[in-house]
Amino acid sequence: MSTFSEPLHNFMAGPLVVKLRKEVEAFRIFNHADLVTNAYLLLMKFIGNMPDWHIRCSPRFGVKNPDIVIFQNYEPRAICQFIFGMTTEKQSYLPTADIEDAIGMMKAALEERAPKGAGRAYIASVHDYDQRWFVPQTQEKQYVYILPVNCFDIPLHHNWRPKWDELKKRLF
Amino acid sequence: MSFFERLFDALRGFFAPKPKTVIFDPKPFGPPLQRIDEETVRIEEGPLKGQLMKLTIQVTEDEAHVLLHQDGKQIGHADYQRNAMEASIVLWNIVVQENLRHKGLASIMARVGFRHLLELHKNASFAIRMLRLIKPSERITKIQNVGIGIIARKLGFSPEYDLQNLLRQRNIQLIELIPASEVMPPGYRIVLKTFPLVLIAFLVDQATGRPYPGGHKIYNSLVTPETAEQWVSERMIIIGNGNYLLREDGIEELMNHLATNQTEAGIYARRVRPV
Repeated sequence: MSTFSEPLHNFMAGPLVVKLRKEVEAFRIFNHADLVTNAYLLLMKFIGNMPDWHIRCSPRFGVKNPDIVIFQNYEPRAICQFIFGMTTEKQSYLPTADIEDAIGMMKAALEERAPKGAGRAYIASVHDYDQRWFVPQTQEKQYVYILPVNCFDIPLHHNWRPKWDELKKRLF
Repeated sequence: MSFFERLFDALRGFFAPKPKTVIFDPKPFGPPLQRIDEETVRIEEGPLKGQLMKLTIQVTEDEAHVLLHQDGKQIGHADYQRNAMEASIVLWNIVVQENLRHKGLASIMARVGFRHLLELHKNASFAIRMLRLIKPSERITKIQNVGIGIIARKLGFSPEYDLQNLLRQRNIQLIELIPASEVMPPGYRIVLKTFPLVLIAFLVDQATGRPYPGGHKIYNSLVTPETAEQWVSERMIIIGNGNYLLREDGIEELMNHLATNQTEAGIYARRVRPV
């Protein structure tokens, strides 16, 4: 694996999550498409002009296309799926079924396109959930990572959330 | 039994709350047996149908053992402690030869042992001892006490631990998946902030009472407060490293699995006391 893979992983697992939460907090993300677009821009900025690295939105990848795939030398290195789990109908909600489906989909995609640890898969879920939850993982090395972007952690959440709901209604 | 023990038993029986009327609803527990002679039985159903087994019971003041032999060779045993701290009848060990597991032999030994001891104890309380304290740093590669755990659940025993409280999300530090092995189902290693620090658990299918096999989608599920609540309320979770006790709400279940007719169920119900 390229030496750039580790910084990429560190960016995905850390700053990307923080930056996406900032974007939601700044009322720039209201649905799945907004989320993918924002993530695409952040990833583009990070990858910059690295030679042999490419970023694609929804490439043809079998049964279900992942939202974003980052390639190195035409090999998928990071397969990303984004889940938008915020709804005006429920104040505290975790898109459990979507995350579970995405885990299955990412495992299958890795097995097919990047076996033997050649790539990693990321599931970023934007939600607003006031409870703790767990993804049971095995003791073996993991290649599917869950990146929770929990809006409940936004400072002054009780003020922020009604504004977000209001804007979501006005901006469709 | 000394005079004081008998006196204590009599007093305990006198002051104990009177058991509810039991409506006997027989439920199978292990394959049915046909008694050939004093010690020999023939298994009537299941994968060992038609096979002859020798069942012997050794009882002392403090212990009881059920030994299972086939063709002169011991293939299993169940060990009980009598008049222990936690209950008057405690099943603490049950072993079946590896190639004969999951064929109902553990259930046969548990049933025979419990029935025999129920005849000896006028005031019987029941427990199954599976306690093992595990350090959070200890690596667990397979689930333990699967058979005995399933027996406990089936017979109406409930965990000694207050699972509702222990499995609060704020009390959980980590949930790790233990993969299935050849003979063991998958399960979870749940690291807690409070005693007992580590729970080794597996999930059983409500409909069949059997553990979910490896690769089942339930083990890909996220664990949310609702999931944990469902595990406990629907008795889906079995703790492999914690004791099980027979409480008030499980007595009827025990009767239904141990007794063979209404009269026997009535006698047992009068003898059994909740822990």
